[in-house]
Amino acid sequence: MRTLIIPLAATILLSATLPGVAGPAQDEILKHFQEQAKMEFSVERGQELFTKSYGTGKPKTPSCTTCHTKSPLKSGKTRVGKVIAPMALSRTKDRYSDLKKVEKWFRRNCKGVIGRECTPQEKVDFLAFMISK
Amino acid sequence: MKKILIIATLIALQPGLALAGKNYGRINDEVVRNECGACHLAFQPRLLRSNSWEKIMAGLDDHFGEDASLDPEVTSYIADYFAKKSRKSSSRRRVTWENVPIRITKLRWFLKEHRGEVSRAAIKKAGTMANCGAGSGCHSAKDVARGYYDD
Ligand code: HEC
Ligand code: HEC
Repeated sequence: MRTLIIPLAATILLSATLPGVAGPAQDEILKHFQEQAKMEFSVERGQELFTKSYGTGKPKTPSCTTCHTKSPLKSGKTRVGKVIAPMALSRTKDRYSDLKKVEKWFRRNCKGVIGRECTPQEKVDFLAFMISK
Repeated sequence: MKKILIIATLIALQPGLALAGKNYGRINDEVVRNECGACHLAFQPRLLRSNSWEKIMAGLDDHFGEDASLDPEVTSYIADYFAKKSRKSSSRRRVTWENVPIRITKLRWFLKEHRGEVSRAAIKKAGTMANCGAGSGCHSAKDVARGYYDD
């Protein structure tokens, strides 16, 4: 019974603490990572992950901000020069709505920046930050 | 007259030849367009020979220094697409796997086509020769999407 209550509580918490931009698709994905994470998500930790300069991945991409810029509200650029729509959900409405897409880019970008895959905790923190923006 | 027209069209359709009206066709497959168009324009199959695509698709986890890997199903789906739509590599000129080119922008016909036409300032603006679509100032995004690279 407890295992049932905890995720349920987390879901309620999720929708309660984040501003109203997240739709059912984003909620579903947040829940997916929250269930595997050890702690309650944190917007602050998400921001830290986003802005930190790691230097443990590929030399040309020390930070998420290398491509996504320092502001989640602004458009970024790939290394080839193609424009990346802003990461904040408030700016790009279809963000974080497809789990496969989210997982694919976490895998690629965490390896490129940090040199390893991100943990479910890091993923839910990051998403919470972007959804709150 | 009609005959000449047909011949002219046939010649114009040969990829890689330095002729006016370089049309490589639109990529109609949505998976390929999305997955291979995420970081740069989606390059059309006929810009490279089949063995080049095979090599690119086999090395996506270290793709020009970046991780472009996909799950195995999508990878083989896209590999099939390029295998079907590109021209076969010439069997006369045997090249070792190591020497199979994976850059369009280093191929002889490409270099010839761009020689003297692209200033240093233009390359600086575009960032790399591989960035020739939207915002690069080289080819228009619309033309690039339909595979049309005439000057
Ligand atoms: C080398 C450039 C680059 C770097 C560095 C980078 N990203 Fe991205 N990211 C992209 C591109 C390109 C996309 C896909 C284009 C798009 O979604 O608009 C993307 C998409 C994403 C997505 C999917 C968004 C969605 O709509 O589902 C997530 C999540 C993401 N990035 C997280 C990160 C994190 C976390 C970091 C740092 C650890 C990071 N990125 C660093 C280029 C980069
Ligand atoms: C995660 C980002 C990313 C994705 C996804 C991606 N690429 Fe690339 N690609 C790059 C980078 C970076 C380069 C090198 C650009 C440079 O240095 O000029 C490149 C270059 C290329 C080139 C050579 C361009 C030249 O200079 O002639 C080809 C061809 C290519 N990619 C094909 C593909 C195909 C096919 C796919 C889909 C399976 C794909 N790419 C997906 C990042 C990506």
